[in-house]
Parts: sequence; structure tokens; C-alpha cells
Amino acid sequence: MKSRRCGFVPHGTALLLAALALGCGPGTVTLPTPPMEAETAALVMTYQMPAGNLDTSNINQVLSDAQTRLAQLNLDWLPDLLSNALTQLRTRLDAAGLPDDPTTMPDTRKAQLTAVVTVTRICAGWSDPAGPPDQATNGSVEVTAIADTGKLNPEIWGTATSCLARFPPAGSTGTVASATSTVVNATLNGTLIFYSLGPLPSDPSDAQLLVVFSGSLGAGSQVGSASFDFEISKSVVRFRVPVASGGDAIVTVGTTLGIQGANAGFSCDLTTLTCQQTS
Amino acid sequence: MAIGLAVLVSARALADEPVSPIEPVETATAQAPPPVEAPPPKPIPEIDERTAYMVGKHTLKLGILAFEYGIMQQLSIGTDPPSWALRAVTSVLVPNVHLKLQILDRDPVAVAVLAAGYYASVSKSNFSGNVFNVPLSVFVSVKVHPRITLHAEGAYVYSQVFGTGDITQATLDGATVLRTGQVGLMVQYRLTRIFSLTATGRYQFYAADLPLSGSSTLDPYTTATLNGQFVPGVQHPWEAIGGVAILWHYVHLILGAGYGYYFLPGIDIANTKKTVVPDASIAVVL
Repeated sequence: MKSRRCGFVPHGTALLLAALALGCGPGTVTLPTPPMEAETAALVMTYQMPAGNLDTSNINQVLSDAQTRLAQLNLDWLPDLLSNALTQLRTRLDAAGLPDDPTTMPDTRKAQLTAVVTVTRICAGWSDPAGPPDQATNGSVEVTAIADTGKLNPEIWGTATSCLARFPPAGSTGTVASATSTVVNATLNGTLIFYSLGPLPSDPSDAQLLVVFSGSLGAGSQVGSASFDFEISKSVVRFRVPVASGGDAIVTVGTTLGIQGANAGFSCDLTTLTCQQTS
Repeated sequence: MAIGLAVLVSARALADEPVSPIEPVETATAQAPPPVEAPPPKPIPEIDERTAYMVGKHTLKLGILAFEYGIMQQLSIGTDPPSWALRAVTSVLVPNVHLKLQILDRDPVAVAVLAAGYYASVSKSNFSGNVFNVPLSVFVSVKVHPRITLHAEGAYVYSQVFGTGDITQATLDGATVLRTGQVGLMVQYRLTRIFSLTATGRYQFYAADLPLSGSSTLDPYTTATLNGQFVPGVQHPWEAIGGVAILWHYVHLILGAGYGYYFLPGIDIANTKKTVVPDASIAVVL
């Protein structure tokens, strides 16, 4: 027969409390909202479907504006710097088991990571001196990415703080749009938004992203304020130029400038400054 | 017979003849035999796994799901062999121990609490650390009918990861460790003293995210921080099992099968996909 006994044992409760008291650790993270999220998504659409109308009467003005913008973009070093930063970010995401492609859908049956990943890269400086990195002197670039339940948000944002960098770095060659073989002492200071159009690059030359910049940048002593956006797709750079009649045209940088509008496309020779309609 | 005759003779004498009060009478005394005491009924064996019932004082149970020893009638200590056995098929060794304390036993209700601790040392390419898993369970067994007993369970499974390196790699062979709340119910219908039909259900009603935080240095110029949490893929796993329990004196056998997300026995971590769920337990009670 089972004994008929009644009694609450106090140390049963103590056991429970002791075990619960083990619960110490980091709190859960609330994901931040990416800056200018809607505007950036709209910008992506603009690059896919430019709305400006082009014709022979306005193409020369668009070409002129494109040349001005091309000089601001610092394509001889800026894409390299940004692509390298994203390569570092991908390294960190891969190490964490996080997705590196915003188009990849996570396996919903498995536990997924929701996380904020911040990568801070100290700039090497113009002289890249031996010894430990000097953030106070050479500045830094900080980028932030978020993953929501295993899905990488395509928008990655960051800040460049008085970043001084030499391009190409000693012992390496430029990989993206290396328009010059001369050494560039670059300065970058401002806010950056990246919109990933494909997997984050494991190699800088594979980068596919839209870049939105606002701040100051330049080479050597030629530093000025600028606000622009451009797109990198496997070493091909495209940027946006407003059309006077409304909308934007998209310019593709190559041996010639390809200018695409809503209704027509032109190929413009930078030497002769002439354009021919291609579509 | 002699006693009966004597009584009969005496009765006739009383009826036919005048009674002389002084005349001596031959008498005899009779005493009924003591009533034969019925043997005490054999105790009905109880299921002591995932119920409020105990293995018994100074009783050792050696089973495939649990080794259990009754320190007292109301207190037992044990360990789960399946977790140890993981070592045979993985690189993870999971030492574990549990204590079960019966805090109320008033027929028809019994209440017990069980606290378990599981430890795993996880070593992967870029993470080295430890995982602690602490399931806390409350069992309530209620005999609602002489043949029917309900065994209810409420469980809170607390997990914590400690380590260095890439903490997000701290998974235990694919099953991510999380904090969960679960309820279970077993309906036991006793057909004979030792044979019962069982129907068991388990449901995870709560699963908290597992917070993670870490930093790493990718190269001398680059540092990275990660703050986040694991979000369980299946928020509310469940399982439903039908089976039998055969409780001989020295051997307890439980067999069943069902469907759902298999909960690892003891450690109470659910599988991430629905499958046929086996239920098998055999134990020798000494």
C-alpha cells in the first residue's frame, strides 16, 4: 500500500528558485530600422527602371552632368574601399552562420538567428605605418547589418569617420574600376547606405550593391562635400543623373558611357563627347 | 459433534423435566476459530516515469531511459543513459543528473517536482564552450477513477550557453538549445493490476529566444560584434503517443508509438520536424 502522507517540502521550492536564478545573460535584441529604408528601396527601382526621357535635344546636357558626377564619385578608390568593407562583413556573417544573401530564404523548420552585426574597420592611413592600427589618426569605417529570423536585410548602413586610406594599398592592385594606376590618398567622412543586390561579396570584384553616400570625400587635399549614389555590379559601375524634363537617366561606366533613359539609350564617347542612340 | 449433542441433551432436559436448581449439570464450552485474515492486496504498481509517483525507498531502477535510486520514499536521484549514450554517435558527452522530490501524496493526488541538469562541452572549429540545460518539471498524478489516472506535467526548460569564439555556432548536433515551457498529459487506463493502456500528449506552449552576444577580431584592422538571439524554427512542437505499460514487480515495460515532434527524453528538446514518435522504456526494479 502506498503510504498516505501529506506535506509540502520547503526545499522543493528552493530547488526551483535556485535553478531559475541561473538565468543571467544578454537580453534579447530589438532590431533597428535601417535608415531611409523606403527611399533606398525606391532608388533601387529607379536604377532598374529609369524614368527620364532622353532624346538628341537633351543627351548632351545629360552627358555633361554625367561627367561632373563621375568626377565626384572617386571611382578610382571608393568602390574598392566599400567592397572591401562588405567582404569583411560577409566573413563575419559566414562565421556566425548567418545568411550572406538577402534573397536566400531561411529554413523555417530550424532555429534561426535574429541579430545585429557591426563590423568596424580601422582605416590603414595614407602611409600604412608599421605597428598596430591607429584609429585616432586614420579613422574608421563602421557598417551594420541585420538579419531577421535568418534572413539578411538587403540594406546595410554605416559611417565613415575621417577615414584615410591609400589606394591601391601597398602590395595589392585595385579590383573595381581602377581608372588610374597612380596612388590615391583618399579621405572619406560621412554616412553610407548599401543595398545588397546579390550575395555579399567574398571577393571585392563580386560586389553587387547600391551605394548611397552623403558627406565629404576626396583625394589628397581635394576634399569636398558630396551626396550621390551609384551601383556596383561585378566591377561595373552605374550612377544616376537627373534629366531636366523629369526623372533620371542611368549611366554605365565603361570605355564609353552608356546612358539609359525610359525611352532610349545612348552610348557616349568621353573623348569626342559625342553620343549615339543605341536603343 | 460432542458439543452439539451436549447442548441438545441439555435442551431436552430443560423441556421435559422440572428443573432442580441444585442438581449439578454436565457442561462443555465451545470457542469459534479465529477468522482467517485475508492476505493484504498486492500493491498496484505505479508508473514512476513522468508522473508524480516515486521509485520507492532504497529501490534501484535500471532502465534504458533512466537510472533511478530512491534515497527516501519521497526523494530519488537518477541520471539519463540516453544522454550519456550520445557520446557513442557524436563527439558530445552529456553528463546529467536529476533529483525528484514528491511533495504531496494524499490519495488520490500526488505531486512531485523534478530538477535535472545536463551539461555539454561543445567544441567546434570556431567555438569552444559549454551548454547547460536545466529542465524543471512539476508532476501531478490524480486518480480520477479506480482504473483511470491522469498524470499531468508542467515543465520549464532553461538553457544557457557559455563560451568563447563564435557563440552562434553553439548548437548541439543541430538541435539548438532554447528556453521553453511545456505541458504534458498522460491518461493511464488500468486494465489489470499490471497492464495499462496509455495515451500521452506533450505540447510546447512557450519558447523564448536564446540571446547571444559576442565579439571577434577578424584581423588587426577589423573587429566585429554580434548581438542577437536564436529564434526557434518550430515555436510549438507537440507529440501524441498511444501505448501500453506493463508493470511487473521487477520489470517495467512501456511501449508506444505516435506522431509529432519527438521530444528527447529527459532533456525535453523537441525535434525540428514531424516524424513517427517512438516510445519505449524498459527498466529493472531492484
